[in-house]
Amino acid sequence: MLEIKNLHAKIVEENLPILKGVNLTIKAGETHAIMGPNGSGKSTLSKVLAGDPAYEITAGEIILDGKPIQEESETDRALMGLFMAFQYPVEVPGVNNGSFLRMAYNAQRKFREEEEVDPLEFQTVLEKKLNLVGMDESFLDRDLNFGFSGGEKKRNEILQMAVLDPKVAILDETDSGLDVDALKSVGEVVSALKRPDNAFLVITHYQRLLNYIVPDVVHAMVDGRIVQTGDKSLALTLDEHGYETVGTAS
Amino acid sequence: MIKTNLSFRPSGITETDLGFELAPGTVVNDPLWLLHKLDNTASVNSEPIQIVIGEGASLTMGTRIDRTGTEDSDISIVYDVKLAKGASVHWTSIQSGSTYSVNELITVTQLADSRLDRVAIVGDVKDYQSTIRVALDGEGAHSNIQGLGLLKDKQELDLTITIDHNVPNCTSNQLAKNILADCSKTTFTGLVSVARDAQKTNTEQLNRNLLLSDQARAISQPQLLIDADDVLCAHGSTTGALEESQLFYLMSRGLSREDATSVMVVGFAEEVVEGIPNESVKAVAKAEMTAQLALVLEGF
Amino acid sequence: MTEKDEEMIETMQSKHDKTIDEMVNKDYEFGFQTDIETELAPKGLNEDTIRFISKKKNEPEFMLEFRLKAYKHWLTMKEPEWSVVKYPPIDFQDIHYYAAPKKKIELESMDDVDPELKRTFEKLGIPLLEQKRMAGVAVDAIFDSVSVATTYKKKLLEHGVVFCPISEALEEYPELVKKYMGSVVPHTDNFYAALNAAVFTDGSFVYIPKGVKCPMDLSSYFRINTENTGQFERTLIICEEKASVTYLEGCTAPMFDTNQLHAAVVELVALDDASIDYSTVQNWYAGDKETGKGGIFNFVTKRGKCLGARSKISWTQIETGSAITWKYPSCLLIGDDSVGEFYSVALTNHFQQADTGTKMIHIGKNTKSTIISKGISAGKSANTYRGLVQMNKSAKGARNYTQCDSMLIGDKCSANTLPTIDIRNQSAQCEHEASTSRVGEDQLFYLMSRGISLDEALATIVSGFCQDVFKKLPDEFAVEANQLLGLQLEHSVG
Repeated sequence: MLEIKNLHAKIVEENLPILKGVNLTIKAGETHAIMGPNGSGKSTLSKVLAGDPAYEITAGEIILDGKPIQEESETDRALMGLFMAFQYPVEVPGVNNGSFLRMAYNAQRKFREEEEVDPLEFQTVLEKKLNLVGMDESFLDRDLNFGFSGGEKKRNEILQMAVLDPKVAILDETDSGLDVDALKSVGEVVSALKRPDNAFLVITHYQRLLNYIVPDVVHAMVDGRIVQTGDKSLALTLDEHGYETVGTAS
Repeated sequence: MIKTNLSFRPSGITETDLGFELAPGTVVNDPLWLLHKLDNTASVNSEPIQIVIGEGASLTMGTRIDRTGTEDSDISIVYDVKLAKGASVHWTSIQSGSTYSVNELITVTQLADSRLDRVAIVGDVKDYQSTIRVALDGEGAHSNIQGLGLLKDKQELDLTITIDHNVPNCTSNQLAKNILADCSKTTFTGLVSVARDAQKTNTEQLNRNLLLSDQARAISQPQLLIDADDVLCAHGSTTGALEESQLFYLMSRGLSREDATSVMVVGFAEEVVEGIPNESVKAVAKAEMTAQLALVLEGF
Repeated sequence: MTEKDEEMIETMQSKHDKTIDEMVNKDYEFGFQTDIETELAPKGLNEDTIRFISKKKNEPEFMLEFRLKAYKHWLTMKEPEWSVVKYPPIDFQDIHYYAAPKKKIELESMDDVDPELKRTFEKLGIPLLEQKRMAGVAVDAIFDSVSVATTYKKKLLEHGVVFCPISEALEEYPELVKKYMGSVVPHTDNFYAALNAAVFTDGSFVYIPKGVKCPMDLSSYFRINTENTGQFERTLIICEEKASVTYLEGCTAPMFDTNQLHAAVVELVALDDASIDYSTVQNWYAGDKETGKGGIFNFVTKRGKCLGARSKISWTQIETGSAITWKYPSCLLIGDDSVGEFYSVALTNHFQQADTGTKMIHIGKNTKSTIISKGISAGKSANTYRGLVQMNKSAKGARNYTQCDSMLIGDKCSANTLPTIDIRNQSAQCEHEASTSRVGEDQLFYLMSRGISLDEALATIVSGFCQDVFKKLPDEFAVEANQLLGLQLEHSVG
């Protein structure tokens, strides 16, 4: 579903290499987690996958569902089925949250050559998703992320994910700023959305989110490379012993 | 001609005909006071006082006019300040003396990574006009200009600050606070101009006026002229009386109206003085502020 | 410049610049000229021109005196130079001060309106036939120097509401016109106001009697058609006690290489408890995109007088057109507890210049004003907010809140913010905030990562930036305003 081959990327402005040859294959139906210390490049990886213009790919390939996407714009990557839940969702004052959701939803439908939905039809779509995420309808009347608390922003990301129903969803440190109840609800949404034809990539600093989203495969990332891959027990090891000993064995 | 008297002679300083130079790398942490000693002359026009701070040098400086005369007079002072690469100046100016009008013109040129921090306390002056022009000519330069005006009677304070961002990556900050009693009047004109190439400029400008009388008048002109797009420029201006709800809160805790007023006015003024990093200079400035505030609040 | 240089500049230009270019580069839709026989006054300005206009309009004697007095004063005045806008000298003798379609217009019946004119206004989206009404809005259509049609006149009159061309008002309600014309903007006010007072040709007149809430929105539509013609219209709106009205104004002009002068005067009077909402969507021809040649000089004086206690005047403007926009819709807050509002979006691109803002003069007790200004500069344009908030000694308890935000798109434009705040009494309170920044790359990336195209993402952000102003517009205009800015975002999720 998602294949990353020898991916190198740098910060454009500072000309600073961050990713130094990432290799990763996620099959349909799988959930992977990437763990790593601060500065390991794990968040950079998610931004580079989504096409953040602050980064430049210097080598390697990203293949989504059989198609290379590294040359595609951020818009087209999203339309092709890639979704990233931002670590820091951006505030856009004046833009209505509900209208925006429908705009993004319709952009996807248009791309798939399906008919766009009117506000009334969208309401039906939304109701289910709101229930799933456990969000109040009043969220839709507010401006996009504007004045949202940290937790509200993260929930709004999850709502967008639920509405857009991507092939590959990347959750970039979604756990930061969320309490245990919220983590649990994120886990429930992911389980509900999980199908044999989609995949999830969870990026996190801590193991605790992985109690709620149980990964099939766990990767440890250090200094821009994946240095160790294992099953979910690796997450516990990393949490307990840190990253200093990882990678040396492999 | 104004004689500039230095309070002491730190090493690394060279006095020139019209001012002084600080040698590169010299650090003067003990405050150097420049006193303008004046007698009873009617009016004074100074030659530009030239202050040159060498590369990487750092100076803490205070200036004030020390006039013995009591007759009316017009005083004009011109400063020409040059900050070399990485140079820094903490400059506190304290001005009071109700008998004379002051017209002050300060021109500052700043090279890369230099830093100017200026705090001016102006109180009990007849008519004070201050014009400050800063040219940020080197990347990474920072200019921070703060003023506190404490006015009463028919006193007038006219403060004009122009900061030209000529190169990228500079920052500047302006804060002008005034407390106006009786028939006093203040005009603040703050101008920030950002040249076409001066990307990544970050500036803030704030003017706050506290009116203690219906006869007082505050004019505020915070201006932005922006020709570059990747910038963050903000300005704000507020004018009004003390918040009744805050006064009420303090009074409900047992303070008299006078005390509550005084607490709030001091709180308003203190922000500027608190920004002075050198403790001994701050103590002088605070004493001046307290004395001037007492005059402003007299009969309130 | 070598080809290589050009290439480099091209690649340096960030991708969002290109999008806004495309967005605002859309060809001017209303640039056509209607081929219609026109009666013109000879070019030039002198007492004869003024007598000619006054005679054409069949005006009462006092009006001619008003005009001649203004003209004599104008002769003593100099063109103002204090704004930041730059333009070549205007030759006031090279302008036709009167241009009107030749065919006689029978205002009583819409069917008699020249079909060519009807087509012109249809093309502009302004139907003059009442059965094809624009969502219940009455329209006064002004073509060059004359009003060609006013819809719903009779229906409005049943409610006592007068809505007619000002030339007609001079014939039918001379006392009202005499009492109020020039009472808000005297001919001595400024150079262009004096010129307007001398040569104004038409405009709309609105009178809402005591206690009447105008049953439909009123609207004027201004069209400059003839080359080398100045449009000098004058609008006068009077709201008696407890009356209220919503008024909309739209403008377009054909594309000519020469500049055309539009020097209008708008006067609003609100008595006790009256309320006037005045909205403008200004889309005059802005001049050539590549050379800056041509376009309208929009030098307008707009002012409202809140004469009565608790009266309210609200200005909303969406300024997207004109080569130069130079105007400050203002409020004189005289009545106690009166309220003034100014909501503005000014978008400049290419070589456009805008120097606009407002004046709020607080005179009465507890008067309140709000100013929200959003400036967007793109291309090589210059966009200036200039404003005055003055609170006199008598304005006890007056309040003002001002917010001026500027957005820069591209690195060849300018954004200036030049407020003056003058507070003369202790109990007055004034708060001003302003910020200048560019379109956030992080916002663009966020929206695009949800599958929204770059131009749509940009349009969405700009629309969001202007939301505080758009939501003050009547619905029909909000849609037009959004489209004018090239924005597609809908706000109708239920």
